[in-house]
Amino acid sequence: MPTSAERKALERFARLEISLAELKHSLGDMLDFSFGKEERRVTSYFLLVQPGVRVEKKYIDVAMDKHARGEISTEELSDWATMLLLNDAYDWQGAEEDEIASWLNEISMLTLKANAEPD
Amino acid sequence: MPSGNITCGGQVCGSATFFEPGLRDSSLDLALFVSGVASIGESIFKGGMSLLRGAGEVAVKEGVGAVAEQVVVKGSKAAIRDALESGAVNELQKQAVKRALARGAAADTFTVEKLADGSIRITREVAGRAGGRATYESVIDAGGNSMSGSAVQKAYNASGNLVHYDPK
Repeated sequence: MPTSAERKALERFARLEISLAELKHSLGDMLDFSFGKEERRVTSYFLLVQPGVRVEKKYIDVAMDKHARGEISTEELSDWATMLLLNDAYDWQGAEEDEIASWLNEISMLTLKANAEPD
Repeated sequence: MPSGNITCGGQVCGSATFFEPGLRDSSLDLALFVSGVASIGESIFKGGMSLLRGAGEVAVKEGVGAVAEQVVVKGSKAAIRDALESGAVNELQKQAVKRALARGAAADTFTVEKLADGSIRITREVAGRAGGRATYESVIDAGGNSMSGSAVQKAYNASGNLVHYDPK
């Protein structure tokens, strides 16, 4: 299970208060990720975090506003969404789960190559 | 092995294959494994060892892994939830599957597969707006925890070819 500091880092990343690099720095060897061209892969070495780190719809609004203001790049926004989607420490079960999932997926796919070519 | 359709609100929304509770051990895994591997003429020993190496390899060795797998349930989020309540996976894995389900939208298609080592693979397929699709995979071990390197996202174009992510 994550320490309180590690959990706080996960929470802050969910709110985009810290970058992916800062999250990695905070979690060290407990988190590995590889966002390659063909696939994006995340390994969290924590046991299933209970309760999960909550993700709210308003976090997505905040992230998109930051992107609109140019505070974060499209790549950073996409990577943020992808980390939330692939890291099972994050949880958004509840009334808004469908909407949150749809938005995160759309954001995560933003960095797909525009004219996608066969592998 | 019993199987059948799952109905949601009177309509078929998925299908399920249930395991005999008393056989949810390595003997069943071995039986599945042997029949699958024999069908493609692979060495049983070679295939078995490949599947036991760990989640990362299970996740990427689709060609070998697929023969030792059995789809437990496939369908909508509602279909999977119904199957969970019917004992489709063990209690420890149930929480992880529930969390994985919540990560998807109602329109997504989920597949839960039992792997030879007792772990389960959850695949979520999301239709993209441009005609392609994305898949999200994760493998949950028998203890209910994600296996190393198993959370993977891939994207495919409308022709089913893997496409690339590029920073903008």
